[in-house]
Amino acid sequence: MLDSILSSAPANILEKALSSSALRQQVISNNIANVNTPGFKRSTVSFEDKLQQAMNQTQLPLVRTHQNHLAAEKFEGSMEPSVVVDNTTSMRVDGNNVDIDKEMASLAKNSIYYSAVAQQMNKYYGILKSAIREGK
Amino acid sequence: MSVDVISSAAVKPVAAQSMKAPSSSKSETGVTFGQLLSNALGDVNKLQLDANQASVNLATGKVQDISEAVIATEKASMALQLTMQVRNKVIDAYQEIMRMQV
Repeated sequence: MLDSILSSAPANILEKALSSSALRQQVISNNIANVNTPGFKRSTVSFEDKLQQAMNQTQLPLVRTHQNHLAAEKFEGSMEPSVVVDNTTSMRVDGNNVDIDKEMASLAKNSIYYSAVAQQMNKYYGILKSAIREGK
Repeated sequence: MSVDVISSAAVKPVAAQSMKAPSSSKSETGVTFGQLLSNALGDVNKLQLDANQASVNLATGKVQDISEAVIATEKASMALQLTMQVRNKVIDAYQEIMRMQV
């Protein structure tokens, strides 16, 4: 019975979203800290798209039965956030590609996202709590 | 001047509704109390499901508008609290009647 409350779909998704947002905070902080490191490449966290895919999954996931099989990103269908290193661009001659304005903007966006998701989670459990306490 | 307009606009619908509600329930003999109750509970349930969907949409980044999710959740929470209070009052009334000396 407790499992059906704690691992219901909204609770699970909000929990994953919170932890991926915390991970993104770390990654952005790391990017900002290395803004002057020669050769540093910025990283990003991809989560929302993957979560969306995992939720809309209508086809069966592609199973890798051998370690030498190529991994198919498209069919992964897991809700785990992943850190992707952006190797494709270069901002300066020393090979660093951190754009500080972009990082600050994503930092602000991420903190708004984090507090919004935290608030939703709080409310979700608040509703359950008030039902448990019989509205008192 | 402008305050009058706002207050009259805000008050009118509520007054109109409260005037209309008894007359409509009197004329409509088709809706029983049980149906009314189950309709109300269905509405509350729908608000809960909407709120859950809004939270999930926010988490998946589908909605950029945070207010949407906040409002849906707030509505759901208020509806549930109202339901719980009505239930408590009904149970209190029932127990009051059962305690009555005949």
